[in-house]
Amino acid sequence: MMRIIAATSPQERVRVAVVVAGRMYAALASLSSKDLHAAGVGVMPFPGLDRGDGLLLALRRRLPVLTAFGFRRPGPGPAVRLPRQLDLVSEPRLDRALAIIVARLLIGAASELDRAVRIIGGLIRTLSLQALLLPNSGNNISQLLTEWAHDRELRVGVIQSDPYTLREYGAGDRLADVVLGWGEGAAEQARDWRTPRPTVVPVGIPGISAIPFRTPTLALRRAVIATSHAAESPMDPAGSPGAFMEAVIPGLQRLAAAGVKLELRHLGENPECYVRMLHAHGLDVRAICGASLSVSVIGADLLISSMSSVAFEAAALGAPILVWLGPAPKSIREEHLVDPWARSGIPGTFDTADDLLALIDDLVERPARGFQVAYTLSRELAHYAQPFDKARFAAALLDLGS
Amino acid sequence: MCFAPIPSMAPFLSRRINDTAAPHCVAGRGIRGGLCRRCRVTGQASQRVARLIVVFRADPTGRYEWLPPRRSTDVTVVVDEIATADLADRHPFRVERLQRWDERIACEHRIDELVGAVKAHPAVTGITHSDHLLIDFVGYRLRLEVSRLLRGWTLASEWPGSRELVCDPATPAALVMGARAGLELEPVASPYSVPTAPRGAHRALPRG
Repeated sequence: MMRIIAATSPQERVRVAVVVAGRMYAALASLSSKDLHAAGVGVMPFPGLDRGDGLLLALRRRLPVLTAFGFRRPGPGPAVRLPRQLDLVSEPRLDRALAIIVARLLIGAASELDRAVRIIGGLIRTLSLQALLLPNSGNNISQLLTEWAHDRELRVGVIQSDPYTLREYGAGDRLADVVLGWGEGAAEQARDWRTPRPTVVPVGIPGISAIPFRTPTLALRRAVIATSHAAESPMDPAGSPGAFMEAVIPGLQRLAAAGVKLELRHLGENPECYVRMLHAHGLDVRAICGASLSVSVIGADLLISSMSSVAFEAAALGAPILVWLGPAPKSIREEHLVDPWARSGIPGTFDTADDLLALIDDLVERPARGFQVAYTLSRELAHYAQPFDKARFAAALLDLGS
Repeated sequence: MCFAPIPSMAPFLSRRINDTAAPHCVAGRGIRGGLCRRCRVTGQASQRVARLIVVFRADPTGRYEWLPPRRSTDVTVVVDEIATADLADRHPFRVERLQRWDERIACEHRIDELVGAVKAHPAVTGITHSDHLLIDFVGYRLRLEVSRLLRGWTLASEWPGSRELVCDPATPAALVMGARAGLELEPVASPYSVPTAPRGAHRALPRG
């Protein structure tokens, strides 16, 4: 079906080829057909990146679909033969395990590379192309597309998909020419990336809309606790859900004792383990399943989160928040993380259970003071994450394709 | 072309051998059979851990049906900290606490070094397709897999006397292989499947 649509699609005016996945769909769907056509947007289906959202958007907005695909069946790709040992690690068994892993990765990816190369081959026919816009640049296919584009002097734009945290790594987004960032602060966070650095154009978080101003509440009736999944990187500052729970449980007990209704919003995985853990500490917590963050946060009087994207999205919505800074000591944060995490003493952030208890005591006993702190942190994080601004996004698209 | 092997990972990836206190060893924690690296060197301990059990993911049901019946000589290590409460009767160790923060940073750099060394290895630099290096194409996944491999090796190196490794079925193959290597078991016994590309996972895959 994709091939038929693409074959009959007017591609000669496409200036920006977009892979529609993740937050990209929400960003593009916010624009009218007129805006998208003015920017010369064409949809580029790409197996491995795009799960069909692109075709849906193309049909809804009558956008051109690029013939960015090759033969139906990819070939085997290059042959892979590696020695039994790589002699890179002095422990022979570890070196042998490394050799096995590398060999299996390469063998498994050979046909994938062949397919990707064939798909990209289809793009050569689109002579009007000026730029690619990718959902992120943090995977192998995006990297291949970026290399391909740069070889042809095409620009590459990406949409920021997560908050930046680590200073010296800065995510794969730094390979792009333009990052459509979540907020003004994203440009400051990118200053430490190695050169050449992309231009960061703040457009807000796709899918997060500015909500009507609500009078800040001073009554704490309902609090949402946002947990995130464990990460596998040794340095990931958000990757300690157990430590987060230990830091929040005494505070949650204080909230429960004050009659505050508690809800748990868990990102991505089953929340049962978290609910079980909270129940074991005498906390009657209901898990919110399937609701968007906006739905979860609107109506809540407080969000307690680790330093994950949820905290930033809530800040973009203007919700009062308290944020755990993670298990890393202050000296490590200052050296290796970007602002705001590298800065100390931001009101509303906490390291330990005692820190949170003090904040919650204020919220319960001195609500004016307590909520002032929670709203101050929300405004602080909103510098790094704003509601999506479709006018800015449309302008950025026009600029990318010019 | 000859590559100088990367030196032993031990100083970078596990506790310092010369720590005066080894909290996971027999004397320090009262774990029967625990034999830490320092104790192995100094011959202080006589008992060994029979089984090293790795819990990679908390079980939503809380049943952990894959877990073998508890033995007093088991050492249980949890990667997903949320499982700690579920398995309190096994007194599990949290993998995050096996390394200090300076060691974690060193580990990140070590991962980068090892990935860089693999990418420069002559056996892989010759594998190309339409001018694209295959090793570059798997760069992101390679970093993740190397990270898992070294994590497995690190945790196994803490209990090198273990004679058996029992892993959660959810444990990535590379972590199992690293752990087996750390226990001096043959790594090829581990199943290995190619991981799928992570979805926009640049938090988990910092770039070098």
